Amino acid sequence: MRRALIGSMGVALLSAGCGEGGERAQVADVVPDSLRYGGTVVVAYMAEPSSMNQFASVDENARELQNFVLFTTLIQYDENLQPAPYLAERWDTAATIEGLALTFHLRDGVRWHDGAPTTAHDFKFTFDRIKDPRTGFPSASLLALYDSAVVRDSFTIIFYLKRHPGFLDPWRRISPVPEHILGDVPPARLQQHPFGTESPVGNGPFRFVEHRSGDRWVFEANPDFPESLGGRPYLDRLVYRVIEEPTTRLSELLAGEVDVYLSIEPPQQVSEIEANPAVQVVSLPTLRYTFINWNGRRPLFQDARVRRALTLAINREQIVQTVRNGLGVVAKGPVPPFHWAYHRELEPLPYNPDSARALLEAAGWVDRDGDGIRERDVYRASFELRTNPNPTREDIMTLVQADLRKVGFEVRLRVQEAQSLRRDITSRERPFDAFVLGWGTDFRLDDRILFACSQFDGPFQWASYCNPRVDELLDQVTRLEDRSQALPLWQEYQEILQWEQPYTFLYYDVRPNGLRTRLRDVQMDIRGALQNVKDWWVEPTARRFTP
Amino acid sequence: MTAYIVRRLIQAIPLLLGIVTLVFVIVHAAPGDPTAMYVHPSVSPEVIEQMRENWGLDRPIHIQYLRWLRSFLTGDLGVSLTQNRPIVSILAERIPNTLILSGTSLVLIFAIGIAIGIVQAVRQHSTLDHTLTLSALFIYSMPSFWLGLMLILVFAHKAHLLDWWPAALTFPASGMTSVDYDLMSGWGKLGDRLHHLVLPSIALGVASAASVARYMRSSMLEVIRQDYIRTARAKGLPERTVILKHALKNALLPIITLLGLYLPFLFSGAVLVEYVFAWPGMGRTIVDAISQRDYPLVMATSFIFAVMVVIANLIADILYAVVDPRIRYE
Repeated sequence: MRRALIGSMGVALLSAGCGEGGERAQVADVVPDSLRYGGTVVVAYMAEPSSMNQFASVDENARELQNFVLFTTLIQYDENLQPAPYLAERWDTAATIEGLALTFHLRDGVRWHDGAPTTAHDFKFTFDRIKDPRTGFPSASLLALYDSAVVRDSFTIIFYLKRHPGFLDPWRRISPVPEHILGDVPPARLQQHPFGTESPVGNGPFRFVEHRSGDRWVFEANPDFPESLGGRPYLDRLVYRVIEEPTTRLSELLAGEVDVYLSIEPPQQVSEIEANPAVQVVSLPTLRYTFINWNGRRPLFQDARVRRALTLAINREQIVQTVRNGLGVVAKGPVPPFHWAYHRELEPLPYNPDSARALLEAAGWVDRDGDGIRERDVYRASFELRTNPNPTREDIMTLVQADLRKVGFEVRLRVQEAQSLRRDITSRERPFDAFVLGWGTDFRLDDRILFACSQFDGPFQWASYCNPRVDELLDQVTRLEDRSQALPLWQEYQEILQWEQPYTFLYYDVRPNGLRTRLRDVQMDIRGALQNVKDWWVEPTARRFTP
Repeated sequence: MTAYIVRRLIQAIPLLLGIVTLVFVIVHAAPGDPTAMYVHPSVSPEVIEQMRENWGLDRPIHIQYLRWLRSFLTGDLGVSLTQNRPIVSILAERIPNTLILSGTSLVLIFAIGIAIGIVQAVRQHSTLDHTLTLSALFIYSMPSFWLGLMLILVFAHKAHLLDWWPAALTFPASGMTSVDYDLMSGWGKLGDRLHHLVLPSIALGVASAASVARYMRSSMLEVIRQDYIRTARAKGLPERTVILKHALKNALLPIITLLGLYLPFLFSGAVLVEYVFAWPGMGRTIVDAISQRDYPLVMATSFIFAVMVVIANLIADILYAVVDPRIRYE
């Protein structure tokens, strides 16, 4: 039943996405469930997933493999980003003196790939290791407000925590690790245990076969994956390949050696993929946005009117169209459109060089010596704009330089090696003027590290922005559990940032992926490109030859 | 000869130590450190500090150096900080891959280069000679990564779009083996590997082959003007025997010195070619390690490269003695 439902949704998605949709939908209808099993799918990405051990990995592609392929998490998000049961059949909460007791009731049919059952003890073990500072779990802050875990019986675990909004969120991304395998490993040695790269044992729809570093990760269907969670996936094998060179990724997709090309980059490749009937492009919203940070400690950027003028003078729509081939949405602020707190009524600042000029005049920046560059007192409207080596961002800088020249700014461009740029922007002295970078948000949003006064010297307060009202709002929204109460505060926050422009928010990133059309029922969305990988199937007649 | 080899190897020790020390200083002088890839909004500064402590990065640099040197000299290369695996197992995976690629290229370079050089020398000033000279210079001027991309474009990409293109002339654009490699028969596996080697080894080797051809041509021209060749011809030997038996051996002498020069060149060329063809070799390992400041891995990979270069030069010197009986190492 579940299969049938998801199947038809996938078809609807496909037919919307490609020209030959009508014909394809019919094919999908006549392929019965039993014939969908089999085949290998090759996914290619530009970077290697660092580890299947979540204690050691921070990259998003490793997390997707952990959460959707190799492991089973307690909960999942449904398409409306609401928590839905997964390994946990259900959960309930009870108030305690300290805050909250959260009880998960686990399914009893989920087994580790070596046959041992996944129990509450594994979750308790995972929890304890995450909370142990010696483990060095990079995302330990996920559970910062969690106090302790108690196993009631093999399939019931209770967490004690302080009340906070989105308290279920960590459990969609923390995968359990098997206590019977890693129980004896000292916490400080967990990150470097061979479990992560040579012998991972999961409990998810696919199990680990092989890892060749710099080349591929191979997974195969787990025949014992419980029926209640969807049963054995359709695919026999899933291969995750690392191909760094974009042209090579493109030609492997077009040649059929690769079925899924994740994150088409550069975006100019999209049109070539769209021109080929055997492949299609599926574009996803992402958690990321691209922005220009103005260093608020510099006299030039201290005045909000100047920052607003900078944004008004930059043609962001043109940046999206030319640099990203239209793959992007002009940004309003720090909350991306997928998020419930996104301010729908707010209009992004327009491209209007004339009002930018007027604002600059009003702020006292005028060109007195006639060299085309504005001055105020002893300061010139001249600054250095930096970025890391990245073709998209380098192109953005060039366009920004030209746009700002028209309203009287002199922009010097500098492409700086990533680590040395990182050192400069995170240092307390903030030895930079402005830079173009991307920022990754999350479902549980907390912008205090970016814009709170208390973080003024912190590593991410690049704008050196401080507004007591924003502080108040950011503190309140991290406490309010009721979204209808929090929404007006989020909206006010976005309005203030739009007015004061600590950043010029350029665009919300859109991630294009290339897919062979023989691959069916692929539903990629904000949760991840692999989020329904266990429902993917390959047209029986179009499968790779397997001897 | 044995004594000579041993002496050369002993002489290499201070050289290698100097190299690793230099690399250590340079890579630590570069801004940033391996924790940078964990610097992320959800990662608290305490976690980063804990990592720096776990990895010993909180100590003064000379202490770090001595600690690294001690474990290095006892044969412990350490653990990669970005891949979280023992470096020995990373190298064991990657070194053979690079050797396969550069070995194939090397054979290709000398086989093609020598053959073309001989043909050109024998047919000096013919149209064939001029054509080959022109194309050799053309190929020699092409950077390997660009050539690699062009090969992919033609033989992997466009070839799939054309119906009339012979299937035997389409090649895989990336990787060492197909996705279904594990399911193939023994001969199938060998064929698959060779198939994957074609484009990268050409991209890596063809420019050097062109230059070997140039050297071979001039060296051959010099040799066939000498008296003993004239003597050989005079006593009625067929031209084929004169060239391949009498002239070739002497003409090869300068080419063998090239071997020692080309090996390091191949290893550095492999960095780009491995990148273009997604070849899981040493070149990509070292580049990734440097950009992520994975100190132990940078040290280990640069050490291996240094050793390979030293050994390559030694082999060239030994071959020199083998070919030229006048040269003796005492």
